[in-house]
Order: sequence, then C-alpha cells, then structure tokens
Amino acid sequence: MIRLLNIAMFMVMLCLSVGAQAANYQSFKAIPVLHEGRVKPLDSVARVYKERLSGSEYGASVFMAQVLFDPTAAADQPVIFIRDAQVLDQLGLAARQGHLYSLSELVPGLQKTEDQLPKLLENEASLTASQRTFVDVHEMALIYSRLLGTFSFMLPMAMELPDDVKVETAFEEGATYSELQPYIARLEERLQEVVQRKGEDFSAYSEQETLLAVLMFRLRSMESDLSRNDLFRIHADGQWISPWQLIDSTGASEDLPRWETLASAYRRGDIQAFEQAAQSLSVPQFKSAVHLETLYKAVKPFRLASVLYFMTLVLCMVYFIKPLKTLFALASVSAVFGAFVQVSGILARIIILDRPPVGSLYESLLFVGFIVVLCALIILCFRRQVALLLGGVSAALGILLIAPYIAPDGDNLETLVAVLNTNFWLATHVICITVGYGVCILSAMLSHIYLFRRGQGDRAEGLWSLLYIIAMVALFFTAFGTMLGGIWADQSWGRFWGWDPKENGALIIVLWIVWLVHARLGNHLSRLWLAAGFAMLNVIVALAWFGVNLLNVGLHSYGFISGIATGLTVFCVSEFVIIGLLLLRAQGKKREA
Amino acid sequence: MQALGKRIIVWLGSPALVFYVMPIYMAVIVAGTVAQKELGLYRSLQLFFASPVFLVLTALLTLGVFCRFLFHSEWKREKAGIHLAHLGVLILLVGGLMTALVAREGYITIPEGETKLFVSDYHQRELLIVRDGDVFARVPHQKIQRGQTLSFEGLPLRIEVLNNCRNCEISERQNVADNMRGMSRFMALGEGALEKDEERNLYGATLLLTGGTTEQDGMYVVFEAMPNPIEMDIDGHKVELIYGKAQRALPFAIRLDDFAEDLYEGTSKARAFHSDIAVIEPEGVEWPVRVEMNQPLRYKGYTLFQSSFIRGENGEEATVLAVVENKGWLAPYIGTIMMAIGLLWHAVLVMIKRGRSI
Repeated sequence: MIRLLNIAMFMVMLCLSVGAQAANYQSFKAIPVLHEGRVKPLDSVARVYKERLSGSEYGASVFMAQVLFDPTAAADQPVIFIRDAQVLDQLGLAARQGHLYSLSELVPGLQKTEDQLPKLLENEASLTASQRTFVDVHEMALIYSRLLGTFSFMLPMAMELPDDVKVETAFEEGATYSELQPYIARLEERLQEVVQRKGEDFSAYSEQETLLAVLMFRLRSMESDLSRNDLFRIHADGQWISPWQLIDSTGASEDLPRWETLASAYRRGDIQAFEQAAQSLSVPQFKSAVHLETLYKAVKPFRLASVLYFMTLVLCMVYFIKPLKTLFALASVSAVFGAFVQVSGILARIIILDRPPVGSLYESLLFVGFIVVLCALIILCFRRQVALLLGGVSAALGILLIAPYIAPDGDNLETLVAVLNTNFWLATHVICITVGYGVCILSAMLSHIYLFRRGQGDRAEGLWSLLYIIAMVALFFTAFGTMLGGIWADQSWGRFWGWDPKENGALIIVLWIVWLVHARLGNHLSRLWLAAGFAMLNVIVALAWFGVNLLNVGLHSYGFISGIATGLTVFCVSEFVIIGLLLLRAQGKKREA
Repeated sequence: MQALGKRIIVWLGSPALVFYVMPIYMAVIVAGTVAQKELGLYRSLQLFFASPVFLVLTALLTLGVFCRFLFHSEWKREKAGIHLAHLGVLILLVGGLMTALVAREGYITIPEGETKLFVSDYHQRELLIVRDGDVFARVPHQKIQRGQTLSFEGLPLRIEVLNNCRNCEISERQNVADNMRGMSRFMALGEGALEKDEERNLYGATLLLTGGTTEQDGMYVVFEAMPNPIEMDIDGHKVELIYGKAQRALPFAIRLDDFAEDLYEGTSKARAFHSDIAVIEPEGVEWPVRVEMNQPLRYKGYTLFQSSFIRGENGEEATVLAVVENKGWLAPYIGTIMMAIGLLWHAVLVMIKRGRSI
C-alpha cells in the first residue's frame, strides 16, 4: 500500500516539479546520507547548512558539491551571512551588499576575537543581539570548516612531496591523505630522526627535509578533521559511517573509489561522469524515499498551495463584486487544486518520516490548514456557498503563512522525541485533536461571515444551520481528542488528567463549545451572541494551540516555543475588535429591522 | 418544601446551570493554568484546582449532569446520543473524583542489578524513626512544624521542632552553642525561595532531641538527602532519624536487570527507553517484564511507567519508574468511549436534521 502511495506521490511530485528542477546534480542531490538520526538525500543536508550559513537554501547542492570536493575554492566563496555592523567591526570587515563573507575573509578576525567567546558563553541567556550574532558567526565558521573537511582525506593536497617520498609511494604532486596514509607512520619516524639530528628549527633543514616537515604538519592537521567529521554519515558496506571512516574500508569496499570518482569528476568539471558516479552511490533500499524527499524539497508544496489559496481568495472577492458562475467554479477548482497539493505534501511527509502526519507544532499547522479546506470543500459538494470557500481558504492560507515562523530551525522533517514515538497515539489522539482544531477554525470563520451577512441585513438561515452543525462536529473531535489525550497520558505518565497547560488548553475549547451549546438550548444568548461566541473559537484555539506552549511548564515540554507572543497577542486583540465590530453592526441592523 | 426541592432539581438539570457556572469554571482553569508559569504545577494545583471554589463548581456541574440524566431525560431514540454523552461525562467526573480521593503517585529508583521494594512519594515528606534497623514511626512533614513537640509510646524520645523549612538554604553556622550536635555544629538551615517544581524543594528541620545520653541530647539539623542519619542510643537501642520523601512498600519487589536508551543513529537524541525488570513475589517467584515508554506494567492495582533514568559518571545506570496506585483508572476509558459514541450519534442526527435547512 505504502509502495503504491509512494509511486503515486512520486508521479504527483514529478508532475508538479516540471520546471522546478535544475538540470544537473539530480543524482548527486539524491545520494542518501544519515543526518540528525534520519536517512535523507544529500540535498536536504545541503539545504540545512546553506540556510544556516547564508540565510537562504538557494543553490544548496551546487554549494555542497564545491564544499565537499573543492574546499579550497569554497573557503573563498562568500557564503556566511553577517549584517550586524558591530560584529563586522569586531571582525575587521567592511559592510557590503548581500552581507555575505567568505571563510578566508573571516579567519583573521575570528582568530583575534576567539578569546572573547568563553566569557560570552558563560552568560548566554543575557547576551545582546550583537553578542549573539558574534557567537553565531564563530559557530557558523566552525560548522563551515567542519563541512570543508568532510572529504579532505581523498582530495589532492596540492603540495610538493619530498623526492624520497615520491620514490617510496610512487605518488607525485597532488597525492591525497588516503593515498599517503599507509606511509604516515614511516614518514613520522623519518621526521623524528631529522628532529633528533637537527632540532625543531626549520632553518637548519635541507630543502627535502623541510618538504617532509611541511608534509607531516599538513597530514597531522588533516587528522583533526577526522575527530570533527560527524556532520553526516554516508552509507558504506551496509552501514552508516562518517566519511573519514571510508579510509578504513579501503580494499574491501567499493565505496571509497566511488566517492573518489565523484570528487575527481567534479574537479574536472565533467558533469556527466559526476552524475554517473553519484548514481553509483545510490542505495536501492532508500532510493524511492530519498527521491521523494528531493522532489518535496524542490517543489515546496505548501508554498504552492498558499499561492493557489490566494488565487481562490482573489476569485472569491471578485465573485462578491460580480457574481458569475464561472468565477465561483474557478475559485472552487483553485481551492481543490490547492488542497490536493497540500495533501500531497502531507502524504510525502508521512512516507518520508514513516509515521502519522502530526508530530510537531509545525506539522500540526500543515495538517490543520488542510483539514479546514477539506471540510469546507466536502460541505461545498452539498451546499454551494461561497462563504465556505472564503472561510476555509482564508483560514488555511493564514495558517500556511504562519507555518514557516513556527518551523524548527534546519530540517523541518524531524525525528520524534521518545515520548511521542508511538504511531498509535499519533494516529489517534493527535489526529483527532488537530481535526478538532481545524473544524473549530472553520466554524469560527463561518461565524465571522454570518455576523458580516447579518450586518448587511441578510438572515443567513442556511449559514447559521451550517455553522451549528460544524460546531457540533468540532465538539465531537475536540472532546474525543482531549479524552484520548488523557488516555495516552494515563498510558505514558500514569495519570489521566494532571491539569497540565496543554491539557487545560484543549479542555477550555471543549468547555467553551459546551457552554455555547447549553446557552443555545436554554435560550440564554441570541443567535448573534452565539455566533460571536463561535467566532471567538479562533482566539481560544490559538491560545490552546500556541499560547500554552509559551508558558514553558508541564510535561508537554516537546512543544515549547518562544518568540510568538507578540504575534499571538496582535491576533487575539484583532479578533476581539473585529468580532466586536461585526456584532455591533449586526445588532444595529437587527434593531433597525 | 417538596416544590422547592423539585425546582432546585429542575434548575440543576437545566442548561442554565452550565450557562452560569461554566464561565466561572473556565476562568478558574485559565487562572490556574497561567499561574503555573510563576507558581509551578504543584502549588497551582493546591491553589486553584484543589481549592474549595473549584471543588464546589465541579460538584455543582456533576450534580447538574446527574440531575439532567436522571430527572430530565426524555428517553427517545433521537436523544440517545445526548444521554450517552452525559452519562460518559458523569462517569468521567465521578472517576476523576475517585482518582483525586484514592490515587497515590510515587516513584521508584532502581540501579541496574539491584532490587527495590519501596516507592517514594513525589510530594509528601516524612521523618522516619528507625529503631534497631526497623521502622518504629513515620512522622509526616505536616507535623514537623516549628514549636511542635513529638513523643512516642514505647520510646523515650522527645522531639521539639525548633525550626523547619520547605526549601532549606544551608549556611555555615556562625555561633556554635554547647548543645549543638552532629551537623548542626557546622551548618544552619534557613528558609529559601520555593522551587516551582515541588519535588526539587529540600525539606529540613532543626530539632531538639532528648531521651538519649547527656552527650547525645541536643540540637540537630536534619534534611532530605543528608548523607548520614542522626544516630542516638536510647535505652540500649540504636535509634536513627531520617528525613526524606515518604516511602511505602509495594506488595512485590522489583529488580532492574537492564536499562537501555535507544538513540537515533549518529545522534544523542533518544528514540525510546526501556527497563527490563523482574517482578519478585514475596514467596520468591519472579518473572520478567519490559517497561517502556507508553507500555506500562499493570499489576496488583499498581501501574509502573518508564519515567526517567539516571546515568552516573562511570556509566552506571538506574531507572526511574513512576508508580501509580489508582483504583479508578478504568473510569476515563469507559467515560471516553460513551461520550464519544454519544457525541458522534448526536452530531450525525444534527447533521441530518439541520442539513435539510441549509
């Protein structure tokens, strides 16, 4: 089943990706590597580091190829993003357009200032923005230098060898560390003899002895790359090893020659040979998932879905001005296509991560956005109300626009923390509660539209019934999802309910809907006030979904976030104002009538 | 009078009760949630969710559901979903009440290869008085209050509490008096700011002990995790005083055979944890069980969960298992199922009924 889905997704992604792919580097991008506990294409790793260093993942694979196989040239490429004037001043650099600097440019400044780091790191929590940037630049330089050393053992050293070494090893200029490695112990002994005879002062050495000393210094400094060589692992002989461990597999493994061929082809600029060598590094077991991820990263389905939803919104607006059936049909098609692209992205994530779709706050946004549109489209099949399209699509667009700000730094296709690593509860409680969030949001959006239409003097009876049905569905999913969460907590932590902020947030949504339902049953609130109450679900869901994570307390620590307080406050206040104004206007119209 | 009773029952079972009580109920939940940021979970629980106001509100809502269910339900097929949902809520609330009254939580820390029988409470502390190696008395921390005097039948030990602290700050003793004994000669206990996490508070007290020899009688300090207990010789018996988390025995012992942390390859991020334990019955029969995340052991009314672990400097490992004794654990499962079926049934009926009018 998963295989079929995989093939289907692959086809979908292929269709979607027309024109989005660069002609070259396809096989190179798809080389499987192990990074942050997950097998992924080299392209994904390249994007993570390119984004980290330059603030943009554009041209990531080209960047990665140069970093891995031509580090000398890569060190001169402007890739490290620094905009802070104070930091630039500290590093002795001038501000420039693009704000990108090469490692070679940074090294003198970094060496001069590295003694400031320990003191700054002692008080990391109280750093100013400039100090944080300063520490970050040092970190970026370290990461970059580690990346540059990834395959340094198999790259030509571009240095002259002593004559006796040439004779002994049969290598000329351009030998690599891995080629010289079998001779290192003997060369070391020879250098020690020289040191014993002549001391450590190079000036007393002959030309050949100096070459030997320089060679050994270079080889030793390269060995430091070995201990730092853990940014990602490559597949060799059925296991995941750090690239430098390839040296140990010389003779028995075909992988070292393959990587050497790849590096050599890159350095020659022979793209065809480069791609062929990259193909030879493909691992059949991971091929389809890795290709799917490469396509997923290239297509950016959620960005594409946002564009389609925006088009739908524009068409809906035009429809309000000029209610043509064609416009409504076009808006519907655009929304359907947007939902299709969004669900493709979600399915791709399910296949890549081999788990249910929601395991992080970011993923919950992607899923809830889809649920809102899906519910709207399902109801649209039975009742053609443009309000449904408008409400569903505007909410989904808003959610998709927020998502990148909530996404974790680096790769957003994350492995799960231990407590979440259970497909059963992810597929039941998490899905149920996020569906509940989605339906609540749709109900709130329709309530906004209901209040707006009532403000225009329209009774909107159909819309009222519709939003009440949706609210009941929301009650089912949020209540059931919350209780399932309690059962999971009972299974995992030993108690059904602990008054943890996340639990209380979910409970408040349920209680709010229950309160509104009972207010309606007892005729305690008019329809307008009830609609305002349902509209407030947007605020309540937002607070339960994100707000409680800001408290940073409780057992749901894996969901903690920071830096969204302002955005959340602005949203909640805006909603209060909008709902208040809509309610006042609708009440005014009611009094007039 | 009967009419008034009927009117009260009618009101309790009406939507009006929910309409007026629920906003206050939600306000307390919101306040209790936000307060956790400053006060921590334990103190918020005490201040809000275990407060009389909240308990009365919960009781009112429970009573309301009960009255609605028994006295106001129209027993029609189309109302079945509503009834079932209300019954589910009632079971949840009653189950919650049972849990609050009878459930006991604690933890047990077992180093690899060792066997443990006693569970430590998360919050409750006690002063343990051990005579000749056997527990003679347990004094709950609520009784270790400044000015309290404690005496024990069958043991001529008298304890006067000179000072007590919930999160003791240990400072160097400045003026050493003649009657100061043991560690009180070097250190004094003062009250420090409370930790948000109640488990992390360091309970302690300064005690004036009499009943032993003249050299032993005097002032002592005692606090959690003190390396050595206070020791006295009373009537030829060796008496030890230990202050710490309250302990209670399990009806079976647990031996940790192996603790394992499964990491994502190439990272230090844990994918899962598990403890391979042996449950040892009093009669000596033992059987192996694996306790892992989301897979607890339920046995003899106790549930043991993988909670945490400790890794020492030399790589020695100990597992921390949460132990819960909760006779009402099944109620949420039944309540959830009933409520879900009821709500689904009702939602479908609303869809069918109202769908026609859209």
